[in-house]
Amino acid sequence: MASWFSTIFLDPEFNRKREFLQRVSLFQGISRREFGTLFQALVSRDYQPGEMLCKEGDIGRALFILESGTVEVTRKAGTSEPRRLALLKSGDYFGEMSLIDEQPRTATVIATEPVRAYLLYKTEIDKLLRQAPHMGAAIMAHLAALLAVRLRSHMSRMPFSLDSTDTIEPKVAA
Amino acid sequence: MGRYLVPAVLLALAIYFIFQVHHVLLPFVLAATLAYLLNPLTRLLEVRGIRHRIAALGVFMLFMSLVLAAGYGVITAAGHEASRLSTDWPRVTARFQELAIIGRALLDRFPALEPIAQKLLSRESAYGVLEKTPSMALHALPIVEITFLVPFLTLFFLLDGGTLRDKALGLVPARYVEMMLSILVEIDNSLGNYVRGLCIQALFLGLLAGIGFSVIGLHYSVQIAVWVAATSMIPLVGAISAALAGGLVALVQWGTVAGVVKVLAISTGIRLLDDWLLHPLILRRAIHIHPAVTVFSLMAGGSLFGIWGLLFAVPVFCMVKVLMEVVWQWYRSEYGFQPPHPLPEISHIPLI
Repeated sequence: MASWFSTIFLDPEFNRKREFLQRVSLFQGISRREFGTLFQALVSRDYQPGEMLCKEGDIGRALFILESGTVEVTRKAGTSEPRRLALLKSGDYFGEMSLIDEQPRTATVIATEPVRAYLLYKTEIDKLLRQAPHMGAAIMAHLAALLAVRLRSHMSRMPFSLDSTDTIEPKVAA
Repeated sequence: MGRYLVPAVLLALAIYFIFQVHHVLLPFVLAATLAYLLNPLTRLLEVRGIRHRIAALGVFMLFMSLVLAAGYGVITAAGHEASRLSTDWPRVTARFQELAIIGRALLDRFPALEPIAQKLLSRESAYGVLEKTPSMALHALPIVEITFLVPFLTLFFLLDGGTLRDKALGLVPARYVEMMLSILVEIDNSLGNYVRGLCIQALFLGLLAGIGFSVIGLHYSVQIAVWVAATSMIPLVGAISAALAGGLVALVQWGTVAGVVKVLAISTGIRLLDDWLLHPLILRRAIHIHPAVTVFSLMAGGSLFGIWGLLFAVPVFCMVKVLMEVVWQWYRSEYGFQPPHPLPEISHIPLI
């Protein structure tokens, strides 16, 4: 009876997506039954090899989560030739800073093979914070922890780089 | 500049085409609106892992059952009222005769009104109404068409759901996906806020009409309140519909000018409360548009497309506003202007 019901009424994609997103570190704090709400905030998009997911200098508006495929992260930063920073694969995410400040991207991301990505737009995370605070807070807490780790890492390398009168420079990853 | 010429020309052609065929777009717009309003219910089921198509079909069937039940209720109530009216007919005709006598007395007192009354009651005027009847019937035909077409299209839109959005995003060049997504999400939020604001406003207006008409002892005050709430979904129409429906019932119930004046006073009060209190409090907060701009867009929509213009003027204005905001942000970032959001200053307390 139960299997008959699930075959007809339940979405097989739902479980597959949930199993994948449960493995993404950003969503570690989210309980199993909350993933349905998260799916409503995500938009999926397929990219072909060579397609640009985001460009250095463009205003960042979304977080990208790679479900399949690999992407290359490069940065020009004043030089004529872009420098490769990282190669990201399934389960990785980038552009998390856009969920906080909507500032220009600091790197360009290009698909190196067919990619399927989920996009989480900033307004959607704001909506989650209002409508499902536990989930929104879990995601934001993870982001805060991630930023703290990055900041400590930068400070250990450049301990005197932050002056009290400066503004925060957008030097974090795309 | 040249790279923007082709998209701009295509956009202009698309807008021209839509304007040319706008009279056939009505069922599509209505169906899309209905699907948009029902979509949150579909999402509630999807969140629990139900297949999208099953959820959409379930919500559609539930909605149609409610519509049919409401239709059956209205027809049954109308039947009862018709039979009651047939028994009350002598009394109602007597009331109208009294009104005619009052009208005659008014004309005797104010002879200047005589030509206007004669024109209104002339044979030409009566013939004019009779001549227009076939064309009015022809105009009613689309209503029949809409009645059958809109539910079918609504189901189609509901079943497609997010697929349409995903397909639209798939067509956008990869680099602009984020911008397109921001436009879609912001429009969705803006429209959602507007619809929620409109529903709250309609609820308040219906409640005010119900309380006001009950206080003066008007018959059918609950039914009129429901009617006022329903018609308030069309901006500026709520108070007018309250005056018309309430005035008609008052005329039949009391047959005196005083009764109609009471109803008109309540309707005017509702209109003033709507304009001065409800609209600024509810809609301005929901859509962040100045009330004067909202009224201008309503008047422009009403003058261009009539009642449908009134219904869709503000949502369309919200969409255009979001579109312009996102494009302006993109323009600023593309041409090296300052970033859209100011950067916070670092605290004087060192990081420890």
